[in-house]
Amino acid sequence: MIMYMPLSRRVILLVRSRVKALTLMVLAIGIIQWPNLIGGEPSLLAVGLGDIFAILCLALPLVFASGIVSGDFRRGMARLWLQKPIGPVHFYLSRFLEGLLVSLVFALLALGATRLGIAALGQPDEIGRLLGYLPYVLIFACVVFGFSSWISRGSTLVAIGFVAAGALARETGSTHLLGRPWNWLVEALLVPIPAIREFRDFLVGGSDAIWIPSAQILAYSIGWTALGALGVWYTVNKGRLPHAEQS
Amino acid sequence: MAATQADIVVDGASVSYRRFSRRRRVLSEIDFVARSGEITAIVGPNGAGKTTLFRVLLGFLPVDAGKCLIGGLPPMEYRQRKGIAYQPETIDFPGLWNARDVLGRGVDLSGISTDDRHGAFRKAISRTRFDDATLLRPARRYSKGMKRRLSLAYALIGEPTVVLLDEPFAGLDPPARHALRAEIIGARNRGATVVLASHELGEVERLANRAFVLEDGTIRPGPVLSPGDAPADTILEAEFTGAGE
Repeated sequence: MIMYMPLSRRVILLVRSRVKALTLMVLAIGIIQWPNLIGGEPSLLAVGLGDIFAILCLALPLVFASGIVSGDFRRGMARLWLQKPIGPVHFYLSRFLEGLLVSLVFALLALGATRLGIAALGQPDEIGRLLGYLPYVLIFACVVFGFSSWISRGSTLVAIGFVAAGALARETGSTHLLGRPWNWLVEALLVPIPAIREFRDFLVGGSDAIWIPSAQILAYSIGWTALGALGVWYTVNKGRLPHAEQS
Repeated sequence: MAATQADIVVDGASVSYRRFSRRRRVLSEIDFVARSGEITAIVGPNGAGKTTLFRVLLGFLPVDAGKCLIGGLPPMEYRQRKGIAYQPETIDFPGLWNARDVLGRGVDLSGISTDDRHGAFRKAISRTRFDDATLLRPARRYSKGMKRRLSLAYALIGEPTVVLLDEPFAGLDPPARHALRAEIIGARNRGATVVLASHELGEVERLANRAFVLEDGTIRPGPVLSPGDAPADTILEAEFTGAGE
């Protein structure tokens, strides 16, 4: 479909409006990683650069995909867009895909920069390990979108808390604490970190399995996107919009 | 009279805001009809439920009882098929978007054919009556009156057949009022169903074909102005202040 306001212009506006958050994020990551980046061995520096890239993959969706729905609902802009002859789900899914696209483009730019940095340090290329972080961009963007359509205020913080709690539960092996009937639900809800690790292992040549972890990652992302779409539909069509605007 | 393409028929509609198990009724058994090619005004004090009524007409708030139809369809369905021009009382615009960005997006979303897009965009730009520098400033920094002009220009993109205006004259200077009157009359003349909520009784009497009084979530029976009524400065004021009862 030809757009009067081209996609590139909308993407530029999206990036410009988030430039402050992006700058703050890069500064914060730089400060956190500073001790690892000064005066270390080249091999340690290369690991530090890889870690910075991993953190970026976690943070980029928070910058570009957060508040897409909740911000519009809260500020009353949904009424502006949705008075036109469009379906609300279609509209917000396309907005989300723009945010996801921009996040992935920035992640790929950061991947290129990281590889250049590692090459400048004379260290072996770790393209497999670095590519293995990209599913985090997809998954985080989908989780943020899912929460954004149901929670009008603080949805990004809730999404961060949810992902962090899930990671902690998996690391500490406490995903089975609720007992048998709930195990499958907990497993389905928490971020599929084991699948992401398997995916990364395949990319670095440590595993033959690619389809099952890929399918798990995709299913999880689609599930959260569907939950977000349901939230948009319910809010706009079932009378929740006035509450979302007042919150 | 049979309902035409964009007639609004509200018949015994009651609406509540629900929060978990709590329910607060805000509109009770509302009855009114707004016809295509006419301007229908809703007048009433603050908090009477005018904005809630517009939410219902936009399909953002379902009715608990009774019915609300636009052109024979539920408002949500009508809006998603044909669009409804809506100028809210207050409006915010996204981030660094300027008027051109907002109107360009409006053209994208209005389902206008590729050949007609440029013309629709130029028309929307001219409706704002902004100079070139203003068009490029972030819309968020506009004055209240400028934001209202932009939101009206945005709403009228694609010439929708239903036009809802919430306090359209608030914060406008005399030239802007004059231009707004011309837009409202233009929409009526092309056959649109225009509903406006306003405190400005003089403007209502000057423009409206029929007017209803909304008070405490209920519309008083029958219009206080009807087609064919001679303009009478005192009718609405008397109804509005209660002296007409």
